[in-house]
Amino acid sequence: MWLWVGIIGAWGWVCTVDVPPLVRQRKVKELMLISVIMIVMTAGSMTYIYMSRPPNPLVWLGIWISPYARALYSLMS
Amino acid sequence: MVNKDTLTVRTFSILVIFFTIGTSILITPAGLALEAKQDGWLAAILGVGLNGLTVLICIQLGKRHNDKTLIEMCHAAFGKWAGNVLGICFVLFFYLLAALMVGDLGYFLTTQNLPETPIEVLQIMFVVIIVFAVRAGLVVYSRAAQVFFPILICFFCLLILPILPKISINNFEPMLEYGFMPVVKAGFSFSGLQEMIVLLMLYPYVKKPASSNGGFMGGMLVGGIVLIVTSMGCIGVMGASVTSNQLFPAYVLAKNISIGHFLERIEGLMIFIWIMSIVMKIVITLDASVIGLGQLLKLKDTKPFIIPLGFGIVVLALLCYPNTIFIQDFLSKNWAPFASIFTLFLPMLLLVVLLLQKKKADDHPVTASIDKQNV
Repeated sequence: MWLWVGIIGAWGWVCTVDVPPLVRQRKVKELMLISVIMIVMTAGSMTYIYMSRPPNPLVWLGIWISPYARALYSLMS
Repeated sequence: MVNKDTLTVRTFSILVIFFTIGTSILITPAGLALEAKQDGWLAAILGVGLNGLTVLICIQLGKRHNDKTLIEMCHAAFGKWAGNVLGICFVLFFYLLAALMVGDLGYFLTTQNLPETPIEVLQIMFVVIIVFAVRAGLVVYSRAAQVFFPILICFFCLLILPILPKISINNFEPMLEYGFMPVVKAGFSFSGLQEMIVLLMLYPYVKKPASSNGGFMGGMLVGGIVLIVTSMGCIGVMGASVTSNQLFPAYVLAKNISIGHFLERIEGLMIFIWIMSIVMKIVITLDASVIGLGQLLKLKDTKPFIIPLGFGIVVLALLCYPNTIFIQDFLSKNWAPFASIFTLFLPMLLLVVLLLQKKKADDHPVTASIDKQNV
């Protein structure tokens, strides 16, 4: 529930503070980028709220880095 | 980019101290005591030495390209495409680091102080403060750091001085019982938690008298001493086994403070040290990633991106941090080797490439200038 408040707050904050000056200055690239970041982060929030086991980027990172980490630590044991 | 020369060396040193203390003051004593047992304090000294090496690399990079941030150095060394790829990797690393620290902060408060409060609420509240600080700019938050620094030092003295009589030398004995390798391993893990390379993103904004490099190294040493003393205090008072079993041993250490059996249980006050240093480290790291993003995408004004990126930090922290057991496991097994790629190996590669470029330019000035024009 609180994350919903966060999502609505973030969209509200961006749309009232950052977007109007960018629209006035017709900065399309910046507006597109802000929209992409906000949509990706909102999708991430939905994943966290609605999935029972949401994906964890650290697990992916752990799978990728663990052989190197094991090799490095084996030098110190 | 913000206006150049906006930080004095003294202010930069204070930021380095806050950055070094960061989350490490809370969590490192447990890791040190787990790996190196009673020699954890030796491992902390070794870790500070390793950090010194990282800072030396940063200083060498900063000396050669004192008007460039890390991302601009990547472009200068590797050209447009490879430089951009490397820059994206650095920015993602900074961003992940900021998210993990927000996770640390949330879990510290929910496990120790505010167990009934939803973690999302705490993380959102802190990120709002962090976003305000980053939007206000480097000058504003560095001045806040200057204001808070004496309070940090006073509270740290209030933490350490009353526990001095409780330190038992027996807790440090026998020295090097398990050999030197556990000390090396723990020292390496310790150094992985202080990602000094982030500060290279702020280095171009420091006024550059001769003492600026000393300010970087001095700040790291002061922060390192705080961490060494905290680790020694934890092991000396609680012993290595109790220290290694705690999630946040420095907080448990603060519960031992007793001034004349009158002033006790002031750990709630001591939380200020940890909150302040972690928030300052997150602010610096988020600012570094925002500056990096701006330079990668050639954005004139990065301010509009701070709120979306701040929002993303909360989301990433919630996704990455399912529980403290998982994160302890990840930190002890994977974080230091992962962080060493960005804090040690890539900066060394960058330094070597920039040195070779300079040598080539000195040997063949005409060819080098043509190459530069082509890039």
